Amino acid sequence: MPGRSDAALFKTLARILPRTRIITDSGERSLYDTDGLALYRGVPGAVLLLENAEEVIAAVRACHHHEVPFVPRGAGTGLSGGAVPLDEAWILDVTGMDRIIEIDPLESLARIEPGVVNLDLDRAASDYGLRYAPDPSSQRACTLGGNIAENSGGPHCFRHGMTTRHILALEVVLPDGTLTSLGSRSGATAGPDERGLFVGSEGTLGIAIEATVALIRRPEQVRTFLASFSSLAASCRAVSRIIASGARPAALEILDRLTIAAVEASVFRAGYPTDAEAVLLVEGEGSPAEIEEETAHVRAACSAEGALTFEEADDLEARTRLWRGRKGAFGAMGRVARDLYVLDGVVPRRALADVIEKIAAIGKKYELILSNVFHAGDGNLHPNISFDARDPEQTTRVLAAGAEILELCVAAGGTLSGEHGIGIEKRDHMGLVFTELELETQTRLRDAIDPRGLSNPGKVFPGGRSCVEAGHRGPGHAARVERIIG
Amino acid sequence: MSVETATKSIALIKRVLSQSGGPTGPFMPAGLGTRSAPPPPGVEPLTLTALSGVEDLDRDELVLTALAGTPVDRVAQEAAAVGLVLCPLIPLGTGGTLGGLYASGSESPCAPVEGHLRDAVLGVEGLTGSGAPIKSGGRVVKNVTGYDLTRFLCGSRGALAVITRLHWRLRLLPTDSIEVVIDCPATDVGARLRALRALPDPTAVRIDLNAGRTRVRALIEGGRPSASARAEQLKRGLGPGAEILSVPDEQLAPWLAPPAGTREHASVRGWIERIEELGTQSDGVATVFPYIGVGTTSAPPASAPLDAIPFGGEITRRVRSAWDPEGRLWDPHRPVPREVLS
Repeated sequence: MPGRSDAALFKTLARILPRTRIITDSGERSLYDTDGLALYRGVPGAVLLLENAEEVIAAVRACHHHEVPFVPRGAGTGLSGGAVPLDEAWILDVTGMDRIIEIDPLESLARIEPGVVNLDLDRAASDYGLRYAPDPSSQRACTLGGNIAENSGGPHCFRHGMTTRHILALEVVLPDGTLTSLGSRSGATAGPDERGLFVGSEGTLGIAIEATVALIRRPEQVRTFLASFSSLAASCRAVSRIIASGARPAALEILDRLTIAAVEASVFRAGYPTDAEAVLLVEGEGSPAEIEEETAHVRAACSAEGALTFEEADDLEARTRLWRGRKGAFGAMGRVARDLYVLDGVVPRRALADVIEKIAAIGKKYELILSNVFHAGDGNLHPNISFDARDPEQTTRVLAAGAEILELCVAAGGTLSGEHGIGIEKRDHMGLVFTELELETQTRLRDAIDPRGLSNPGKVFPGGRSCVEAGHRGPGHAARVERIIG
Repeated sequence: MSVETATKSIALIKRVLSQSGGPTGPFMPAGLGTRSAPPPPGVEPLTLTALSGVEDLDRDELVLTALAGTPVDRVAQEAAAVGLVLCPLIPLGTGGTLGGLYASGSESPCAPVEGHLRDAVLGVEGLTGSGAPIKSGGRVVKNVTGYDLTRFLCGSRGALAVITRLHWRLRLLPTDSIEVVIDCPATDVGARLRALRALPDPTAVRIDLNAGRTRVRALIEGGRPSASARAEQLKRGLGPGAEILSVPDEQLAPWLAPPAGTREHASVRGWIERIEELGTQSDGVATVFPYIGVGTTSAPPASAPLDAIPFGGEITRRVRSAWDPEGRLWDPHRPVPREVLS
């Protein structure tokens, strides 16, 4: 093999793609230097704007032939540095592949291209009384290809499951250009679940060029509850009580005092009580009889934990208001500091209160502003550190605090990530969860699929390539992130 | 030759897989033999029934950890004793081990509502064919740390790994199980299924065909008042003739299990056509779970049966080569050696 040759790759691709869809200008390339995480950057060697499956296949095969690393990319809203190109890897941007190919109401499924925006699919499905359940906070911008790569979650995954549960089948281009089909229209698999392996593989096993996704019926009725508490611990205990009662709410979300204050001072104001230490947002869905059952369970659990206030909302306007605060929480934190580091750890539910207390202590130790918004039902924490990435000393403290928080989650019986993925951010912490030999089993798998290590190199596993800069990436970035998550 | 004596601890299994000399394999990990055929000639069973025990059952977190050779019925009994049930609802009482249930990738008729069996397994530990450790997932419900080997190995039938330990999701025992049924000609099945799609989701849907008559059955679970209310809704939606029946606990397993027959896979639309076709035959018999695409019929299959579908694809082939270069675990695709046949 000739070894890496970007020039030869360019020559090959120029025969396939219009010149306007091969970005080589350094200024334009730098727009792709990061994702939704405000801590890492790397400028790609080039960016390919791909619009159909044939182009993706050709691009991957060409990259493989010329040994040029590549990074599949959707909207770039990920929060673990997964879409940051290392070693001047080329970006394969599939946001142009945004067709919903088919919606089949009888089979309750849709076939889509990877560039379809999450919320666009949900809206299209609503015409048939259906919906796409996974709803990451970035659902207005993030693409389903990215959701598949990261196995994204969202508040309503508590009841309905993560992205992987909703992916029935995939058409995939492996890193050497081999085409393969994974899963089936019914979701059943014959033999190993290759579909399940691919979902959440963070772009290291190739690119999905088409997905068949499950759609579920829109609920007959939805009721949203908001309870406020005088302590975070009480709100966490209320969550455990709700689950133990047999209720099956769609979502169980907690916001802490600092987040409430930021939300209430922002355009996302939702009417949360600002004197509370925590608010618990619960959503019940189902038939009217189920809703009444859920209501009784939720009310009793919150009352038993001494809820200060309890509010129920049935109509869309009132429910939207209650959710506005939760969905706008990350954007609202922009009022506290110019940058926000959103962590993503998981702990057993019973450990929530204790771990959050210890997280607060870590914040104090490193003199950082730390707030919490989290998927309490899943034990999926999102400690948020507000900081100024232009200050290298502060950034160092942020990274150290983040590492300590992840250690804390693992020590409590949890794990490094519930929905954001490992990416660059947590790759060096994988040793907290896995032994060297266990990691070797996984890297052997990756090497079997991608022996040249070309597909999104340097991600997920420790010891990857490290040509990445940490910290501030110049003007413009903050605005871009705000657009994505706000 | 069985190497059961060597499987009482994970360390011993590792030694069997790693050592040269002694039993050479290829090995087929085996449980109680309820879900797979005996090893083909030339393949040695690696019996795991001695690797047994529920290590932890956490009622608050709704998760249990058990060794792979633990009988499923024992797990179910221990869970039921504290008011819990394994997710998703599967036909129990059929024996077998937890590892066998997982490795066979058994289907749950409740998959559209509750998720597939693979969605209920939170974590897995095991060994590759060369004895290297496998770990994926854990005891928390959300986990995207590393590759999702938990799902990948579900259904791998012992050809990619020896499963040693599983972390499994539990849920509260349903308080009420009822079904809404409607009898109709086979030609009306399509209309009934379309009507169901517009109604509150039942936990599972089953169609029984016998001599041209079909019964569409929708299972509903939940708290008593709400389950009854949903059943009434379904009854109204399915039209005149629909009725509500209770499903006693002892009837739940047979409800979820198809009787013996030719196994077929088809889409919902495919099953509508197939039922119509079988309904024209006087001896047509079928039990179909249309929402998960499977069923059994008395007739020769109209499409390729499940067993004819290749075991995995390109990814499986590559991983198998990397994890087990010496072929210590059996290969579902490998032809039986001539000398064994003779």
